[in-house]
Amino acid sequence: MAKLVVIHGQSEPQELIVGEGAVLGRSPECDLVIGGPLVSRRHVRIFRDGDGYSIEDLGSANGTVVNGSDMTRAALRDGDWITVGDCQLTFLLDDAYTPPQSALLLDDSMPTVVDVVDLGARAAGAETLDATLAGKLKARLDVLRAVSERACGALEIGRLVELALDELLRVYRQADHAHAVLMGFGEGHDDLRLSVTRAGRPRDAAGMSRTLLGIATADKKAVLAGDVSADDRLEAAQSIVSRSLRSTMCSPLLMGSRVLGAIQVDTMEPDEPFSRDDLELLVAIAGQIAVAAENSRLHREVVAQQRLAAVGQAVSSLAHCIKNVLNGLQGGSYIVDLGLRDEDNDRIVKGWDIVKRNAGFMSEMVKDMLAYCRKTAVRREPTDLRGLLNETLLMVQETAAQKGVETALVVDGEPPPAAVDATGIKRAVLNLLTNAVEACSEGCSVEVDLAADPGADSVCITVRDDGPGMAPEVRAHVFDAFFTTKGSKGTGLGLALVQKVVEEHKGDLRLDSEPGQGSAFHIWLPADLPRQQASGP
Amino acid sequence: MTDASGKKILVVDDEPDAVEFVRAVMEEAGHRVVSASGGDEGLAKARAESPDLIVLDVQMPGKDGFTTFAELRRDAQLASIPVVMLTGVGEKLGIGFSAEDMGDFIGEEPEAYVEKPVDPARLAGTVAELLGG
Repeated sequence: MAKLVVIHGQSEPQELIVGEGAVLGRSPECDLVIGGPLVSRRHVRIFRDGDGYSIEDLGSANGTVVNGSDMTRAALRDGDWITVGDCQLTFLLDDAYTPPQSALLLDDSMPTVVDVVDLGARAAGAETLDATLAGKLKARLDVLRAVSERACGALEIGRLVELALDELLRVYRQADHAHAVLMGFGEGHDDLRLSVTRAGRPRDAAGMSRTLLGIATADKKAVLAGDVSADDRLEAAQSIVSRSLRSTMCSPLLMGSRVLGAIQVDTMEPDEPFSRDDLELLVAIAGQIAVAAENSRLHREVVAQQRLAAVGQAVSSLAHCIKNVLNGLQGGSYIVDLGLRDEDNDRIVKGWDIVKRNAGFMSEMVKDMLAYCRKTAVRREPTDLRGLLNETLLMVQETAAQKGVETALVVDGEPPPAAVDATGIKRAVLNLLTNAVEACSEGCSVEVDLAADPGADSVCITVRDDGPGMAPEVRAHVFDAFFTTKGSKGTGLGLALVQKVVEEHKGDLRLDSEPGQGSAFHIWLPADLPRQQASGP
Repeated sequence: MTDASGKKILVVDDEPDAVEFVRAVMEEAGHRVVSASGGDEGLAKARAESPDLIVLDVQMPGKDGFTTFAELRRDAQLASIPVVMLTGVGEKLGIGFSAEDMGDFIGEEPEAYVEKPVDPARLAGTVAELLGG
């Protein structure tokens, strides 16, 4: 039976038995309804195709991705990853998802190399085995717990696998080396190969045995060579014999029926070959590592997608703003052309004003963009904030007066000079004031307050207006880069920039706003110099 | 001048410079222009002025072009006025925004779309075609 499971994203239901076929898309008539602006109404279908299943994009606007590649039609295999818009799904051929350790079977009838469980060696040490049985069981539980705890905590896969290999050397006291191969998990999708060697033992530069890796990954079988030297069937496995290994075992890393790689443990110690119990524990640990590896891969994918989405959002927002400015420039020059043709001076002036205004807007936009992206250390110097605020207020006063909006600067007491980056704070306050004036209509007022808090050594700048205020859904996103309520006039960078400046000062930014009640932005800034700068030259 | 000249055009855009641009293009084609700076004002002007055609910007603060268009179509007095939508919305959302998708949002489609930045000849041609038909 085939099943689709939603791993990430909005959809209903969260799981779907595919049966003969299923259509995925935004339309409520689809078998699996997926939300989001990137999803077409009928986006993609999955259908029975001979003995298996196939997937076909239904001409969606934004395409379908299977295992990281765009496709129009493809055969589906168990464990395949499907991306539709922001939604991530996995395709499973068995409805009963089986964890890797129980999915794995030891195959005693394996014809080549190593199905050898060396019972003779174990019988010889029978009395010690009984005596250490409880200890062994406890060690197993310990190692499983340790690996699964680390599997939950560490998302960097290389580090996680190293920890797990160390754990293997701890639990298999006779082991000299532990190796892991994770296919496609390395840089540039190369295989990730890691090995650890017990302190004081010879290093094994060759890494994992290719013979064992082949059996583990191609046949999905766990492999045990109890006593390599005693087994004449191992002649083919030169890589094992030539390294003086006496006993070795290997388990695939399985996620469902997908092979992610394999782990191997070996010993050069002739008296302590690995047992079938040891192999079973290795299989269980392999299961934990596989889950962790898969988590790490998913995490990496989500981060990459979020990064791409953020870049896409930035580029499209900027493109939109630039288009609006271009529209203004084009409009202005069109009007200038008409004026020149008709020798109509008023028209020329009118068109030219439009050109200048839009060039100015573009210039402000570029300044905001650069200020938002710049990663320079702020230079805080004692600054007369009253003077700075007065200057900044003057910059918006003309626009405010034209709209019939009153402006005022209110200073509480005699605030001491504060150590701020004057350019950054001026830009931040100017953005807040510009927003406030734009939000206000005739008869409203905009006020800047400056108050010092001597007890806490901080100053507070408040930009307050009695304009329309903000709805909760606007308030929630108001500091997000590229979020704007100004239609074509906004870049969505103004408030994001204010937040950045305040964070650079290790200050605090808060917003009070309710619909119909106006808005107040409070900027708290530490008044004193940061220690490293104060003690500097 | 064709038969389509001398009509009354309502331009709805929050950006005064964009209004002036469209006004210049329309006046050049011999039309008269009334303007509104937002969706609500646009609806009121449409009722008061009974324009022959409406040029409507999509991206406006407050009542956006989609909502304004949907309300125009719901109003029996206004539903038959042809609408040219000025759009850069596909770029804004970063997706291929088709007419079908637009239909999804507002149930109906405007008579024509013109992309910003506006090409004066294309806007004039589109309006002439709609008014001359």
